Amino acid sequence: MPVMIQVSELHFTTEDGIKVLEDVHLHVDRGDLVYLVGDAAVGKTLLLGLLGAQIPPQQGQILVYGRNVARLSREKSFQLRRQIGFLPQGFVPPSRTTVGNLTFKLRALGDFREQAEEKALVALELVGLLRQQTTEASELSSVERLRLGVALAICDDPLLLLIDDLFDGLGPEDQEQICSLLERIHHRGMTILVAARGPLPVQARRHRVLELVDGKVVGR
Amino acid sequence: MSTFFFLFRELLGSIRARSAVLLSASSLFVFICLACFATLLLVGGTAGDGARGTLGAAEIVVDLSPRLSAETVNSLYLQIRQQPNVSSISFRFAQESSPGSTGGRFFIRTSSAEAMPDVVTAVAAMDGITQAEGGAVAPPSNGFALPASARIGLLALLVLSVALSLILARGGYRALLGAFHGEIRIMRLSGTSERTIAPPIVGLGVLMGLLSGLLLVVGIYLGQYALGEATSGISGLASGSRVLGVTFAGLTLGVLLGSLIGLFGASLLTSREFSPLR
Repeated sequence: MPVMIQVSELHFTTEDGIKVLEDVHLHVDRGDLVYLVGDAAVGKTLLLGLLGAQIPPQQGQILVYGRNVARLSREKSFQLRRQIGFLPQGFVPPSRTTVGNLTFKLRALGDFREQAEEKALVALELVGLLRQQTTEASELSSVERLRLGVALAICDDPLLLLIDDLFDGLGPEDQEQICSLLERIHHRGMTILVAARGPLPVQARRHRVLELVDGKVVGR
Repeated sequence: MSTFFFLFRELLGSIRARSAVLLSASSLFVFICLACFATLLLVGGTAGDGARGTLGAAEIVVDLSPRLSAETVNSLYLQIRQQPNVSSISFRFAQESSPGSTGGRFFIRTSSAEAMPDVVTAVAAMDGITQAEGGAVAPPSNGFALPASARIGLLALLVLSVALSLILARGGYRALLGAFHGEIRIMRLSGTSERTIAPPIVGLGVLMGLLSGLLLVVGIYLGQYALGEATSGISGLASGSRVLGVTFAGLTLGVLLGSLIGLFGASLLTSREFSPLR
């Protein structure tokens, strides 16, 4: 199985001198669905930011889809980001319609209107928001907003999907719904790494689960 | 290019009342700055600028007989130049100043206005001179000139208006980008480069500067048209090429100031508020 993420000897220290990540090793194969659990402020967001080429690494090696994140030029780094769908923690979509949010992202990336609309509708159908395509994002429920965030992250068909703090503020039913949605996306061949605060719903525990403890990734 | 126009349109669509007021006020101050600049160049000339080549109070025009040979004209030239109180002398063909006339003319400048009558008398007595007249022949039109205090005031207003336009633009951009921050986050998360995100923001500044510059061009030409004959007293406005030069310079300065405002606005993108991972 080709490797999607290969992290070795990764260290990260904040400006205040706090060691957040210490000697992190991580291996994710292409097509995996992995849950990364950990308490609040343990460094999950930082690790995802490093993997998503949003934060430059300090020490250690991060290979994403065979590319060394630390050695990428600015332009190459933008190109890598285009192949990674990233849903940040507490994502609030802009005040646009559901489909308008997606077409905005796609057109900003250079797609023509028709192409962008087509991709947007495919993504909305996948996340189950096709009927709400003309609904304002502000009128969506929290779980629908999360679905919209996932649609935004996957609408350009990335190789890797990174989701931060997935289950934050969701009830058990909504958590199961979102797990099912991720499984549907995973079945299409996308590699997914989800950061969440434990405990995970039963459906999620069927997949590979890693834990971030004291700056190190542990688990199978 | 299509991405630029798409983002530019989306950015304009995010303008709300507060940002509209602040950015309009900023454009107004750019216009005031350009108006000061144009006033200094068009009205700020010193007295007599527009009358260059006509006679002043200490000048004499001397008509020569058209029958004089070149040698005689040359001899007269040397004689007059040797006269006391003559500071300079030049020759022109009469047709240059009076179409239809023949012969030549000397234009003599005396060392002082008081010495002029004596020089006129002496020159008029020379052979071959048909007429010699002092400063009253063609008194210079006293072009309207700004006093030094007004020029300093305009310069101060120019600097002040640039500073105010930048301050207002910063507030306007802050409000505008605040309304657009969700979109900026999405773009940054999805790998849209800064080279795509920043140009529409700079473009808005350029548009503001361009509009202010165009308003100045319209203002100058309307002013020239409305003032009509009165502009002859204002040396700058009476000269078509100078008006054209000032409008072009004003337009260029407007675009430059607008670009500066745009860059100022784009610099706000470095704020933590627009970081994709907060």
